[in-house]
Amino acid sequence: MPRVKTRMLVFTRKKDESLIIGNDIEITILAVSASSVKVGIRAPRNISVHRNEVYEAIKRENLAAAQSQIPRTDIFKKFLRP
Amino acid sequence: MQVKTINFGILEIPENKVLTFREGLPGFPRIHRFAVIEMEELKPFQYLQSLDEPPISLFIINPLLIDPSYEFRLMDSDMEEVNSTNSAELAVYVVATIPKDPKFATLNFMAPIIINDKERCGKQVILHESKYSVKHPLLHSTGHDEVKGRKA
Repeated sequence: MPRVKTRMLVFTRKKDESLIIGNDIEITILAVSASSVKVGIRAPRNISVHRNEVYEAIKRENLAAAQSQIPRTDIFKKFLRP
Repeated sequence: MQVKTINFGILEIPENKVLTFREGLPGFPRIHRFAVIEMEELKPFQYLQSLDEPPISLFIINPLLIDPSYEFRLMDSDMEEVNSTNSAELAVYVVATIPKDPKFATLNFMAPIIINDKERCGKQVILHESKYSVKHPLLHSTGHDEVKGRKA
């Protein structure tokens, strides 16, 4: 399957202004402070949204899990509830 | 169908065991087909075998065997992705990361895998506002129970 090509678009928005992605996703700047921005995302229920660092942590953990050794169930069985 | 696995040679997977993961998994976005494989010698673990490339397998386990109080809320987007309207019908697993020293094995309690057997689809859900860890230790000693007591 070919890799999806992406490009980064850069916009400057003020508080209460928004962006529309595709036909169904709207991102609104709800509040701005010196150190952070509060962002609201309105999207159809089938679209999930995550903090990037959380997504990356899950991704890293899956990659590590795929390298796992076969579990020694004789050791683990002792600690598992029936 | 036949799949060449990394750990277990060539396996025969019946069509009715093929699960569709519409969005793949974080880290493996282009794997859309999996099967849950049971092997007596692995119990209580099972493994989630990729039927696409790469043919990875992830060791999974019922989280309630480790923490009977494990619970989480599913979002509409999660339910929609596994064609379910009733969360009680879903099977839940967590993925194990098992390093060379199995004493340090951990479970990903922050991103459980939900499977809708009836519809033959699944998804790895990322929990928001989660009190659970990506690296929940598999082996708990009395130390773990003491921590739980302190928080109560």
